[in-house]
Amino acid sequence: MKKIRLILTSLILFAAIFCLVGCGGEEVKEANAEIITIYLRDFEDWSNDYFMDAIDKYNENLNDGVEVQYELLDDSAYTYKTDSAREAGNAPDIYMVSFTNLWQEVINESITPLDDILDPDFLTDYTDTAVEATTLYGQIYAVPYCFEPSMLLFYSKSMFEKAGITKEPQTYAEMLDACAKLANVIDKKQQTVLGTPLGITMGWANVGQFWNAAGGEFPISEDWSESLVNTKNKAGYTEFLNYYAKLYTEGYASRSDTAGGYNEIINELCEGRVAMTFAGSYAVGQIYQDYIEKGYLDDESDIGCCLAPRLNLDLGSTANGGWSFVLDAGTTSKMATANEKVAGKTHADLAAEFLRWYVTDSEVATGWFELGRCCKQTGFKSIQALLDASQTNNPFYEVIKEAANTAAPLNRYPYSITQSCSDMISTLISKTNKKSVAEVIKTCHDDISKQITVNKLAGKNPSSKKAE
Amino acid sequence: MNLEESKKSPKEANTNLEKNALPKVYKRNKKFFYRNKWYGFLMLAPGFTLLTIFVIIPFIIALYRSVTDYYAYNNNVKFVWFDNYIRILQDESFFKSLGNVVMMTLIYASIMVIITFAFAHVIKKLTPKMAGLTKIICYVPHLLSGIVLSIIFLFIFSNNGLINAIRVDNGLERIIFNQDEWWPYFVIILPLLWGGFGYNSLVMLAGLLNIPNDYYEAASIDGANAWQKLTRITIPSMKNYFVLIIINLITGGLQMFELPMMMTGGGPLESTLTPVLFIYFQKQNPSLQECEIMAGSILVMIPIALINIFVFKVIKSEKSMD
Repeated sequence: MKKIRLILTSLILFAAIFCLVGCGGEEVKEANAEIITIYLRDFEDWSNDYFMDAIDKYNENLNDGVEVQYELLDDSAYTYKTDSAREAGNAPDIYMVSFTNLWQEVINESITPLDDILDPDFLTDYTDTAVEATTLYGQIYAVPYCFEPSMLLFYSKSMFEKAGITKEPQTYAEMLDACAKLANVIDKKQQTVLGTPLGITMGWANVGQFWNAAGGEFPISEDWSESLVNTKNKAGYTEFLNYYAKLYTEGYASRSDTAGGYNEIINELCEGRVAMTFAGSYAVGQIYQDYIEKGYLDDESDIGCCLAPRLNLDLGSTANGGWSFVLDAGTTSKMATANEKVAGKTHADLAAEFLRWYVTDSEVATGWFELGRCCKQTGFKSIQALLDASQTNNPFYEVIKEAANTAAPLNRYPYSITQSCSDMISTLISKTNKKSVAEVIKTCHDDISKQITVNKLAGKNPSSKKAE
Repeated sequence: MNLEESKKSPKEANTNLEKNALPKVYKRNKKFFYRNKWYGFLMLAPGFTLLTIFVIIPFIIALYRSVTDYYAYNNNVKFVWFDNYIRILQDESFFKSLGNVVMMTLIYASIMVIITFAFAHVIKKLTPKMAGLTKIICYVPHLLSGIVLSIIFLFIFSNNGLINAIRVDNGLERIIFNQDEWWPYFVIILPLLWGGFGYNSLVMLAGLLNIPNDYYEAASIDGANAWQKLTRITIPSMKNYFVLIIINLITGGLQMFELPMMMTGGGPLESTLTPVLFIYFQKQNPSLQECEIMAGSILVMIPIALINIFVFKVIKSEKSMD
């Protein structure tokens, strides 16, 4: 009896395992396909899923001699994994780099210039922003994936109405006034007036704010030879810091980061813990994907969005963040040898063909932007035209487009300089701070000047040089 | 044994026996004989192989790269000797991070040694059943990773966390634990203490139980009081356990990463930035070259090694040096 029970149990277990294994299915793959590898960065779930599905779709063609293989990597592991793979001689053909870090990849000779690899008609489809973002030493080094304005102001329309605010705040004075009115109507036990970037995100999120306050200047001069913080930019920075510090010292904004940080700060607004919040344009995708699609919010009608308040109204108040695809310098010169259909082509050629398909295919590319409700902007004129036509009902589209078009040019300088600027805010909002605005500006100026000397930055700006 | 040999004293006979038994090469040092047994090497082999692959070789590579202008596709790597080290040493953030971590480690290690030593005495006094239960409960946090620990403590210390919820309900102002005054240090050190408390208490308890009761009985007969027993018997007998715990705490403390990363992000104004976090941030948002990051990593290792040597010297435990 015992034996029979044992045999039966084993059979059931075996059948269960067999069924589970069977569920995976067997993918049909092209024989001897040339393998093109890509490391995907972990962004929002909807975006990751879309990209992986698109690659699967690309691989459905079993007669092109190419198979694209991807690996989805978490942000914290991405650089380490890419470097390790490169060390081991297994670098991916394609990987992703933020526009602001592109110059570092060029200096390290990690990536290939694309002028001779990409078709000229594909290059002419680049928008002006895309050309500016991907050009270093006079050469195109990347295929733009998306642009994301790093700071917009999102607010609850019903809270504005309750507080008697009739106009979206666009100047510092209007913003402080709106905060004061909202402070009177929020439930102080549960809510804060304003959500802001704090901690490690404070630096990159505020680049556009500093740029605007300085009348369109970065904290470092064009040739990276001097700090402009306590000279050319001093007056604008003083006004900006006085206003920004007041948001915290008056208790409108919390000095403590939220659980998800700036990347998920829109949750605070959607769940009613703040009356308004600064957030990157990606927040629009989160509103739709995480709240409306899942039924937590009926629609977006209570959420408003505008450019963040600023000193110079004729300039934008955000910087363009964003991501690009690059081709690794080591592996892209490899010739395709596995499949005769692609004989004579290099991995770089095949990778470029795949990228062109992904970023400009009218169905695939627009599908991705539409799924994210155009919270990110394309770098291609053809796709921009298609989206302009399809997004007439998207209440956030025009604001994001305006923000992206008026944004600060990419802040292509060492991140430690951005960090020094955000330290000015951190110092001023600290409970124990005894420094004046003038003093923190001077400290920042000295710090950046020291960085210029120690890192020998003078004359190194790769954006302004031609290829040698 | 012949008649002549039987007439010799047992000591002389033994010496002769050893002289005859050992090959010439081992005559000078008897211990050397055992050290060269093949099975000794065999037993060392797995550990040494792993150590070589994962520690020694990477360390040599890192050392080499730290004195060159290395990056992955640099086909013309040149020696720059100490330039990378000088570059790191000119970075104020790096020095600041070293100072932060030394301070936090000193506080954390001192508190940990004292409370675990005291708690081990408490466990020793408990009934076996209660002691067993206490040990299990205390040990559980040690099984949690730094990330899980920080998530638990974020629920308590975040802006909308447990403590602030209670404070707000009682009409008090929120405390911004990751920003205000000395709270950022507190929210890092407390989870560290909680996580390591169980393990270190058990090590202390093992040390306590290893001390023969006869010592205390003899001391009682000689009229020693509790303080004298503690300072003359308990602490000296547990010297090696203290060494183990202190070295573990200092080494672990200096390599602090997950908790400052999660609880404060190294802030405010880099006041909780640790060297490992500094290196991590440099890698994420590169302001430094690969070779400079290598130099930074080696510079982090130097104080850890020095502090360990210092602790060995201070404790002066022969056993621990073995």
